[in-house]
Amino acid sequence: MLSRVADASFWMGRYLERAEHVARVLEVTRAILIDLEQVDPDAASKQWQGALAALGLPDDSTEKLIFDQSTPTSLVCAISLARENARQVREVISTDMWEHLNQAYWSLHEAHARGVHESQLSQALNGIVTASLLWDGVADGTTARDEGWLFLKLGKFVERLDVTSRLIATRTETAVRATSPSSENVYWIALLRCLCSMEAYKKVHPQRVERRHVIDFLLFDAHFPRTVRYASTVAADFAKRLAEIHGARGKGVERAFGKLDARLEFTDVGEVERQGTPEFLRQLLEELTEACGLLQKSYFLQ
Amino acid sequence: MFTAEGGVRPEYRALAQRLAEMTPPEVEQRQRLADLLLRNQGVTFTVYSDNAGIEKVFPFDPIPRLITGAEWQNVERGLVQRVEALNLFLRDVYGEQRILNDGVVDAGLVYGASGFRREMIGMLPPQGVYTHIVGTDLIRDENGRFLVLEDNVRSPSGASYVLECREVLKRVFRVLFEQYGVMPLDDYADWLREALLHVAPRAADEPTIVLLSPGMYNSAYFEHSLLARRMGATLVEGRDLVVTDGAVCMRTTHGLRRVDVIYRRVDDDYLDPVVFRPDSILGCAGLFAAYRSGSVALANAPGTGVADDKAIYPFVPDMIRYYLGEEPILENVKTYIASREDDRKYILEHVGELCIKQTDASGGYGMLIGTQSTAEQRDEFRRRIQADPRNYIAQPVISLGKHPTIVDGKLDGRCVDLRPYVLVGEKVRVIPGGLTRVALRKGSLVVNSSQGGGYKDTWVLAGAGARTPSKGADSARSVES
Repeated sequence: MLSRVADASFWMGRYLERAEHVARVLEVTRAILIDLEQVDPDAASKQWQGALAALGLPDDSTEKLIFDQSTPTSLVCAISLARENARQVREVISTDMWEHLNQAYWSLHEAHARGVHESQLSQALNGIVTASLLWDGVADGTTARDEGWLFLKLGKFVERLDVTSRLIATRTETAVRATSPSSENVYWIALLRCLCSMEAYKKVHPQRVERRHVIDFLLFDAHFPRTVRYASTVAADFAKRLAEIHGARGKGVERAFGKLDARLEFTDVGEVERQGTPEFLRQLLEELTEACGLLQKSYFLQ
Repeated sequence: MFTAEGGVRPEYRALAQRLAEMTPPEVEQRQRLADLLLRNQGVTFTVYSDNAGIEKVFPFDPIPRLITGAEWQNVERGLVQRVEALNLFLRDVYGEQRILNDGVVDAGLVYGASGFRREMIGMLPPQGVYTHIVGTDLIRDENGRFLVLEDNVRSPSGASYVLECREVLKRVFRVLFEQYGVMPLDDYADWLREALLHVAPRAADEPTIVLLSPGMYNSAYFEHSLLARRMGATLVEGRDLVVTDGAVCMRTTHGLRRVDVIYRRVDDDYLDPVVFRPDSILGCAGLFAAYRSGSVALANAPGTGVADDKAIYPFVPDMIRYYLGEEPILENVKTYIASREDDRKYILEHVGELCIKQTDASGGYGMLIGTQSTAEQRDEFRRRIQADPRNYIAQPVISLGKHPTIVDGKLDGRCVDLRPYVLVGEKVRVIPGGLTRVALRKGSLVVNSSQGGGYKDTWVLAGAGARTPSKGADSARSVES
């Protein structure tokens, strides 16, 4: 496969995953603020700012965060970049994948053109979450499990690993500073919902939401696809499968992702808390950046 | 659609009946459905100047254009003959130059053509084929005969639009497809692939074909990706290619991989910065040397532009007689060549009645339609012709055939032309139909998409006319409306 195409497949996966996170976090946080503003206005603004910081978004109106093309981290930019990358590999991905992504892109522009009203913001955000979920299905259902698919999926799970870690890191930082236990509880619920994990978490921990359990679940649960551990396992698996195709060229990448996954496998929540959760995640993200650098060197820069 | 006497041509009766049954909202719904299908499939073209919307949905008109099988056979034979002569002309011009020495074509016109590439002199491309993919523009004259308006032998675009138009129309007008036996277009990508494999230099089992595109911001990128996909070829950009040890290779995740055939959609000037424009980043340094050494094939060959130069065009019928000893099956539009003294005199006296074309311009630019011009424009062109006669030709203004077209939700007549595609491989083949371009502005004769033109599907009918609807077609009606 062309190096440029491998590169674009990887980033198509990343940007679409990013779009889904941006959309979901904005939508969930907006809903939570309605409750929180009644109880604790100060906590509400922290909640909002924390969410934006984790996604690299500026403190701006929701409308701008969704539609502003000059904000590089906005939702419309993530979707546009996913689509630009898809266009570069148009002959490699299936027509269904392209049409589906293209539809999501146009529907976002149409929503903007229709004029911006509160309910429409929600609709636009939900539309992107759904589009991303459906796109996964379309991709899985219409693509051969070849190199292109591996790069695409690797991009997707690298991004999930990245965003999830960042969200947990900022939340653990803000939560430590929370004033009352009731608002702290709201933080953890918000975090679970931003990561689409509330229901899955409750199945494992049906009692009242608690910090330690939430961190344990979101970092280390190996079975739920939205956790850090799950994403790292999938990424390591895809890096390994890429190495099987490419031989010696892919060994370094395989090792880097494998090490990262092993670290998560053999660490427990007690250790993480002793070290400090944000610090643990900072190191993890550093390792991830290194692994991605290696990926780029081995496959994308020929 | 109509005969000279104003009656409906027999092949159009079923379509006319179907259109008469449709209410204006139904017509509009057809148009909207077509637009939506095209937009979601990403069938767009790029407008460079308009910042607000860089991508525009391709202007498609859902009313099909019909051509009978018998008429088509004649067109097909004529095109094969013409393309054969054009390839022989190119081989001659870059080789022995017999046609110039015999005085059939004026050497000055050949050397003065902007598409002439002296770098090609003395080089015979694989299988002696210069132009593998040709798009010839045809128009109907007052008597309904097809005439050749222009040859496009460099790297004509539009074939993907033909394929997409067909897919869309199958969903918009299902019933009509069942009534008419329409010749399918499904073979185009296979034929294209065969034509490219025909010139592969290595005896490899499976030669590697790539399509070289200027990239996703090029106006025809949609076409490049579609053709690459349908052919199973790799779509590359200049930056994906590198020449090592005299071979062209592409950069892959496995390292460098050898390339055998390049279907290039990059202009001659940009192919290789070492030989052509030094500032080009769309091509690949060393590509032309590799091509000359025979390690890689290019389709179409560089320098083919000399054959579709507007000043060479008037000589194509003579080429056919010269090389093939046959009479041309398809005739040219009567053309006056400004560099000939008699013709120039005629042109200057009749500017107001003629269509004047600059020989090195295309896309509807550099053109004056005398009957629709102002006195100043005519003076301007007179001056330009006198200053540089080599650069101008003139043709009588032909009223292009009009065809029913949806305009603002209603049917109205608009001018159309036809661009069929010819593929030169072991055999020379023509896809049944082609791109019908339509001038969407009322009264306009210019069909180019850069000048407000749109497209239609073209149906070549296998049988004599329409069949009566079968029972199945009746039940399909609910799907259609």
